[in-house]
Amino acid sequence: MSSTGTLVVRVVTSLAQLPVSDATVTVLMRNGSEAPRLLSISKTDSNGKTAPLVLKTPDTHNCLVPAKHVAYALYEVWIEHPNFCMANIRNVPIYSDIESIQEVNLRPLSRSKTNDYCAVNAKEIPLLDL
Amino acid sequence: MNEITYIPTSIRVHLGPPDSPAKTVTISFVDYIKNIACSSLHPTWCEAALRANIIAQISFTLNRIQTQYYKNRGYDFHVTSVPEFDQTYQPMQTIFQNISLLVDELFNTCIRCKGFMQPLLARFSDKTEINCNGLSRPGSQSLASNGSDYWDILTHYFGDHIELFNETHTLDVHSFAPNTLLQEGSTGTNVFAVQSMLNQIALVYPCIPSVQETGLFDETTVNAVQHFQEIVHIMVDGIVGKATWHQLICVHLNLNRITELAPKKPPFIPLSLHKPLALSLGAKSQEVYHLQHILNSLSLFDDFIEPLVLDGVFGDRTERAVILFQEKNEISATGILTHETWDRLLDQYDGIQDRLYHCHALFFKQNAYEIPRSQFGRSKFTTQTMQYPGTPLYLGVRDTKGGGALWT
Repeated sequence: MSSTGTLVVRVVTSLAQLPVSDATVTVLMRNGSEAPRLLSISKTDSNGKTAPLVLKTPDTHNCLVPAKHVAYALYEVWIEHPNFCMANIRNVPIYSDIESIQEVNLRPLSRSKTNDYCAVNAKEIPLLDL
Repeated sequence: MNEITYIPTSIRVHLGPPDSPAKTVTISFVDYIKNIACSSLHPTWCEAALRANIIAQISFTLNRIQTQYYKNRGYDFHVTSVPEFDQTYQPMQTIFQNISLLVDELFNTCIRCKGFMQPLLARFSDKTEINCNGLSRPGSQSLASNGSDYWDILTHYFGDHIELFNETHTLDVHSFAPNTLLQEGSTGTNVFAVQSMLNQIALVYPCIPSVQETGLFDETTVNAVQHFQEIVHIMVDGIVGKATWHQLICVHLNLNRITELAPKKPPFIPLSLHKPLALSLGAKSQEVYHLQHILNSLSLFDDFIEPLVLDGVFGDRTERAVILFQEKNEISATGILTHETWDRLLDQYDGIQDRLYHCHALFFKQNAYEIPRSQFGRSKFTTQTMQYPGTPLYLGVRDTKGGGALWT
């Protein structure tokens, strides 16, 4: 059992999920109060997707009975594009040998605003309590 | 009550307890199941446990929909997002590819009690014991890791009187899914529909190649289907089975929501020139029509209201929409259009204009739609909403209501 999983980020806008290309996707790892570690910066393609990113996970034992230590690692993702509000998602879970797909829906900015004036759309994914 | 069972195209989810003032979202049925599965299951669990849980979750959901549980109690949604009432739904939930593929395989499968038409309202338990009421998630994983298959697990928790049932694969009255797989060599009206939908979707996803709409599933169609499958993260095999068909319908429906916002009359006059203030309940005018159009367009990017009927009448629903907009933007939520409210509305509308009308342009060029001659005598066809040509402004010019400039 390997100790990596993959992450794909898909960036869209509106309920029609129109793709947002050339969005900058930054992946970080936070460890408590330490400074976050920058792991990757990439841009979305014409479909609004990043290339799969390989990320580390803890060593895992498959199919354990009520495992309080199910092996996943948590990462943080920032998505930016000059025409949209920034988005920040914490606690994106990555499991060994599993591809995680994180979809993000961005809100367009008006022409008069820049990213500095728009509240960041921050979300935290609640953790499974199993 | 409707005796015929079906899989809906979309489902309305209330993001809170039934009586809470939370918003209600409409999402595709398959995406909802993927979300609740990924919100409650670890993807590294045994496949048998995942299957059993997913089938039980689908059964619960279909029971809620087909018994119209909430509609019969006066609510305007199918399920809530909270586990005390229904199943946990998280709007930003990360989706796991293996669970996603299982849901694609199973989304029309459920369990029911023998002799009953309705899917079982399969309950879940948080307890870790193997013996308890409802399906225990950790318990199901224990059983699976000891060799039980998904059917053993389901009968263990729900008894031997259940049976597996594949729902008639009709999505709803508007879209009947084909009964057979569509693949290279297939022909017929369903193939034609696939090709037509792919071409429309390709307008916003340029990497999908356009296909000839011949009704014959040829190699270029296979290629286009593969590109589409890759975009929506389903199995890339070039074959249109139930999962691909469902995704095509949903993506296509969503794209059409943008084109529906095209004004059927000549587009509106510039709001920047005169902002009608103090519009409120009871008003009936062209300005209300423009307001409703703007609110609908904004909601397409932020989903905060139900689409309003563009009737130019400031009724209860329009007032409610204005209040929701004001609350969202932290201005005093009176339902009256103040200067500040207009500023925000126009500012945000400005931000989405390009994207909105880019889509319009794509679709209207495709369908050879002609915008009628503008009231200002501009050219007959334009891909933008017709902009007011403007009057020259220089020192001393003043605005008047009606748009003309007054010189001092």
